[in-house]
Amino acid sequence: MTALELREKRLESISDNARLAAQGDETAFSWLIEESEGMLYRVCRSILHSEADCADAVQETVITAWRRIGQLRNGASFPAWLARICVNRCYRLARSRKAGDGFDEPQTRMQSDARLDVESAMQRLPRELKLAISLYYFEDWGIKEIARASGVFEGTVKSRLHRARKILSDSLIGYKEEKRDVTR
Amino acid sequence: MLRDDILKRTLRERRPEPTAAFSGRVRSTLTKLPQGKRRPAWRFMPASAIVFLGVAALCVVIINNKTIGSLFVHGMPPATQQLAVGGQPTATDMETAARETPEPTPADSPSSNPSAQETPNPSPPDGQTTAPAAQDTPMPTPDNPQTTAMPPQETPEPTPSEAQKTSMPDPGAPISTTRPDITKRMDEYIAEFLNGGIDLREMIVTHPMSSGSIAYGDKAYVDAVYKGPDAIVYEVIVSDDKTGSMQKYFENHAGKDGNPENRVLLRQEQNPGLLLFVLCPGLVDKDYIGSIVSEEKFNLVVSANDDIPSKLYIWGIYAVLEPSETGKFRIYVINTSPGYRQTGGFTILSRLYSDTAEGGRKLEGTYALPID
Repeated sequence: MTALELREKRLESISDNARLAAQGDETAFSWLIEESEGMLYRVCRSILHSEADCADAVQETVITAWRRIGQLRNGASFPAWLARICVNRCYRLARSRKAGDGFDEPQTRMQSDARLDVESAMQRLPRELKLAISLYYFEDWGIKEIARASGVFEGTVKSRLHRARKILSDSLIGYKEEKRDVTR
Repeated sequence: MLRDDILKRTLRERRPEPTAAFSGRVRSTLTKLPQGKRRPAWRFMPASAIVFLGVAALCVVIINNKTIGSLFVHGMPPATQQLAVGGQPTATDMETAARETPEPTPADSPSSNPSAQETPNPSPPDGQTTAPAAQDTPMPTPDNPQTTAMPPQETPEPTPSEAQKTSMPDPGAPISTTRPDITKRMDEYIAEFLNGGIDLREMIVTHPMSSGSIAYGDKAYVDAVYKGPDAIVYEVIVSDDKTGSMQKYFENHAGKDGNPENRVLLRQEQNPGLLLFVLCPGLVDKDYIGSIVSEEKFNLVVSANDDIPSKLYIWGIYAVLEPSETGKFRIYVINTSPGYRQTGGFTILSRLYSDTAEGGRKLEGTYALPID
């Protein structure tokens, strides 16, 4: 079975289970959440800094999703819908923390430290760019889905992706050059 | 900038996975979901879709009632009643009728069958006579049941003359609920047609051929029948009653182009609303029609199109029989008049569907024809 067929089959399962969950089926809802667990984690990580905050955010997300799944119109869009709830919860949680708490200023850090690996380069991205990159590269989502999950226009997503790519690319190239110099 | 695929690969390798604490929190949350009331299935449907479905269902009911009611000026004939309830004269009924009614033979020709000559002629009231060919051919009127066989009704049928006067159904007649036979093969239907098993005495215009001249709801009457080995030609007169509006129309409009001769020509030489209605398995050449129909009538209807200045009023018509998806028929009536390639059609009782088709469209395929 090709990757595309697997993806379609998965989407079909998600759609079916979302329909059942909308009718109050807890098992179907649990399956959906377990399927989306990785995505939820990465969304939380892209916005929140601490593990404890991520866990709190996902708990609120799951409960909110369960209460509101009856309002979901299209079962196939469940992942984007769930991500949207998660993003909102994370932002709300982030706002409740002190400003700057746990979040680094990317520009200054990147300039001062060229020895960045991918993970830390990601961590130093502004959170809206981090979210776009996370959904685009980690979850393999399209622009449209990312826009829906983030609550912004598609053009904004494209712009964010472009900016994020540039920052990441610069930091990774700098990292590789420095690494090459050290090994000589 | 790094290439996108390289960036993607690099990032994917470092994709963060949920920690045990995170997964544990998810599991524990799922076990403690608040109990809500069970939602109905339709709740999943968008509100707009629910409204749309409701309105659509209402429209279907209203349009159905209006359409069936408006098709027949004088009410709904029994056959249409059957159709309205999903029934149809079954193939068995038709075969029974065909058995009971002998097929037309040379001996039934008008020369040896006085009843055909006694048939009321649907010519205009000014005493104008129809072309001789019409009189030489058995007319499928109720007075001459040998030319066509009516599908038997479940109720006692009115006498033919009564049936011709009005199409009002017998109010006490039970409505058949026989389901349509959609499995019957095309060649069987054609054979039934050509053997006169389907009544063409009264038709109704459902797709007017050009604006004004033949209108929706007008009735069409078969004036003569010409049978050939590959086709059957019905000479049809269209009118809202047997002597009525078509003649009036031609009287009012024939001289519209300023040429009074046209009016004279039409009134004297052209039977208003005259159509040659050819049923055949596919298109036939008009020369072939000419070989069936008397030369005079053929020239009047088909060939004369190029000669008569007022082409609007004269049609050469080919009709093509084609099975529809439902197993019934569509009749494509193609207007061959130069400059007037609009199409039209007739609903023949409830037995056939009519539909439009592009002018001059050729349909592929031939069918076996067990013709006498």
